[in-house]
Amino acid sequence: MREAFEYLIPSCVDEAIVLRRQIGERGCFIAGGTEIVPRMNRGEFAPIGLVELSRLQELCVLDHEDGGHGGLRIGAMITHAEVERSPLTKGPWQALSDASSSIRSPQAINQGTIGGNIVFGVPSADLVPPFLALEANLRLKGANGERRLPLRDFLVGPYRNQLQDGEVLIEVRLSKADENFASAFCKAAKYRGLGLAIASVAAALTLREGRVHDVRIAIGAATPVPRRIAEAEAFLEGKVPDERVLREAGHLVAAAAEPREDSIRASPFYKRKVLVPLTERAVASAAARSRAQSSEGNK
Amino acid sequence: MKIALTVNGKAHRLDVSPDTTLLMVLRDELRLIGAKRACDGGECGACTVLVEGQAISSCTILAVAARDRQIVTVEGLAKDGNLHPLQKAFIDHGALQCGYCAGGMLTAAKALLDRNPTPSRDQVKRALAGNLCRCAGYQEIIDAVLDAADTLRGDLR
Repeated sequence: MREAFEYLIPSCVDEAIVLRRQIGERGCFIAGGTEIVPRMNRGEFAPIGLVELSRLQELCVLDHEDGGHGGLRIGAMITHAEVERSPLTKGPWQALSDASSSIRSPQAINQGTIGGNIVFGVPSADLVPPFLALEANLRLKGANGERRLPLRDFLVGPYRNQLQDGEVLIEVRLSKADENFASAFCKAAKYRGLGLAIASVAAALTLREGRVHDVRIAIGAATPVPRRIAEAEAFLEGKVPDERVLREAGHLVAAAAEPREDSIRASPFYKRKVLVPLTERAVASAAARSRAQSSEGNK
Repeated sequence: MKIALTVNGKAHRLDVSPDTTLLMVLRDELRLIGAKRACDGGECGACTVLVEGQAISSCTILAVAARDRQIVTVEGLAKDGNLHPLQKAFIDHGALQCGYCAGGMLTAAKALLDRNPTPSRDQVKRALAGNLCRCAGYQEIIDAVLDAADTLRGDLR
C-alpha cells in the first residue's frame, strides 16, 4: 500500500473535487496536516492518497464581503496565525482571534487551518464555539455544485459532519455585525489557558444602555459537539450583566453541559465547575468590549 | 515525487516518497540532524524549523507540502563559522543539558526575534510554548533568548 500512495496537487477546487472522487473513499483531503500527518506517522491512518488543499488560492481568502461593508469571509485554508494577526478578525469578531491564539504551540498556530479545525470535528476544536456564537454559515462545494449550511447543522457528532464524499469546505461566512456587537472566548487548559481545551465558552452580544441583547453562548469540550446553550441565552437577554446575573448564567451553562465520563482531560464534575467562571468571564469580556466599541464610536 | 527545497540558503532538487515528512527528508536525505525526531506528532517542538520564516514542526508537514519553500534549520543559524547570538547565549547561560530540545528551541526563538526584536519575558515564554525541555532548563533558555535579543539589537546600532 505504501508504494501506491499518491499525493495529488490540484490547481483549483474543482480539480481537487475530481481528484478526490477518483481516489475514492480511502483517499482524503489534506489541509495544514497537523492532525493527519501525526496519525500517518503513528501508523493509525494509511490513506491511499491525499489531495492537497492548502495552496488553493480560492480557499485562502480573508476579506469583507461587498467591498468592505459586508460580513466576513474566512477561507478554509486561512491559518490560525493569519486569524490571530489580521485586523479583520478584531472588533465584533474578536472571539475568533482569542480562540486561534489560545492554541498552545506557535508551530500549530502557524500550520493549522480554520477549515481543518472545523472539519476534523474534535469536540474541543477551539474555533467552533466562537463560530457558533457568531452564527457562522459554511460554503461547501462538491461534484453536484455548491451549497450553504449553518455551522450548527454541519456538526453531527464527534469527528462527524455533513460533508459528503468529495465535498470541500470553501469558506466560513459571518453576517455583517450590528454596531457595538462584540464577542469573546475563554477556555480552561493546563497552561495559562493555552493547549487543548478542558472546557471553553464563547459569548457574543450587544450592550445597549447597560443591558445585554442578542446574547449567544456556545460551549466546547463539554458536549459531544460544541453547541449553543439556549437556557443561558434566554436568561441573560435584556439583563444588566452584574456579578449575580453572570453567576446564574454560568450555572445554567454548567447544568446544560453533557461532559463525557471517560474524558482524559477532566472529570464531568470539574468540567461543570469550570464552566461557571468561564461563562462569567466570556460574557463580561464581550460586554466590556461592546462598551469600549460604543465609546470609541461616539468619539 | 520530485520537489525543490531551499534549505539554509542552498537549493536542492530531491526525489522524495510522498508520505515522508519534511523532518525525515532533512535528516535522512540532507543529513541535517539538528532537527530531532522525538514525539513525531507535533507535541514537543524538537523538530522545529523555519518555513518561510515561520516556526513549524517538521514532523507534521510532508516534504511535498513544503515544496518550493525556504527552510531554515538550526544548522543555518551560524554564519561563516560564527555562532548566532542565540547559540552563544545558550552556551553562556548553560541553556543546554542533553541538547535534544536545543535545535527546536533555537529555531523557535529565531522566529520570535526576527519578528519582535524586543520581546518581554512573557512573549519569550509564549513563543517557546510549543517546545518541551525534559532537562527542565526553561529559566536558562528564556534568559538566553532575552540576552540574545539585547545582543542582536546592539549589533544593529
